[in-house]
Amino acid sequence: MIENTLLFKSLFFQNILHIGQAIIVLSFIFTFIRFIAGPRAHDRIMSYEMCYHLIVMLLISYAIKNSSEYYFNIALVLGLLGFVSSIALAKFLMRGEVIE
Amino acid sequence: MRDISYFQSGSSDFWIEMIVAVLFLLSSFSCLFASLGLLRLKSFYARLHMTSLLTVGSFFCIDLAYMLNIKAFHNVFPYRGIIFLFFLFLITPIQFMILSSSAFYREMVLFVERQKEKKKINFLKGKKEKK
Repeated sequence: MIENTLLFKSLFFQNILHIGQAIIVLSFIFTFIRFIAGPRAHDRIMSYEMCYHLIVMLLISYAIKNSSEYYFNIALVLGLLGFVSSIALAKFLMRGEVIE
Repeated sequence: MRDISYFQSGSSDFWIEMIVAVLFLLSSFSCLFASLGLLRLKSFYARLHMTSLLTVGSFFCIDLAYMLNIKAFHNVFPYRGIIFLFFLFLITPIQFMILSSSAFYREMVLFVERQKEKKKINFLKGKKEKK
């Protein structure tokens, strides 16, 4: 188990982490605009996958900031769930059914 | 936290933190460019190409940053990071490839249905088909 978490981080590094998290949130807003105004279903599914990726990015940034492995476990599970859900949606688009 | 003398010392910790920060900023900016491409490009396949390439790059950079951070400062072997790297390089291209193939299939089905409707309309109007 990791101890003395915040002692190793300088103030400069923490500021850069906050700037990166702000950039990720900004890109989340752009993908959400595409999610609302997507002309067809493919664009919506693609922006949904992108939202999953951005949430995983945010969780890994928290893991770097706090130097904890719990956030990273959540990120791993979310990545796998995003893969499964996107494949199910793509198959639904192709066949009209998920389980045949 | 450390004060300004930490920056002037030039120790190895400072350089490792700089590398981690640069990798993290690279990954976040590539995410920003991917979302901008998602917003601004016109064709569906162009959008898919841009997002797939840049998300793989951003995941690679942020995972390297995490592994470097946890190995250098806490001396923990980052086996979760290696698993994450392996899974993402396996998974993300497959994901986008299946999505693109489904989109192509759907467009093809729509195209064939439109052609059939055109043929029906021409048949009802009494026109001959062009050879």
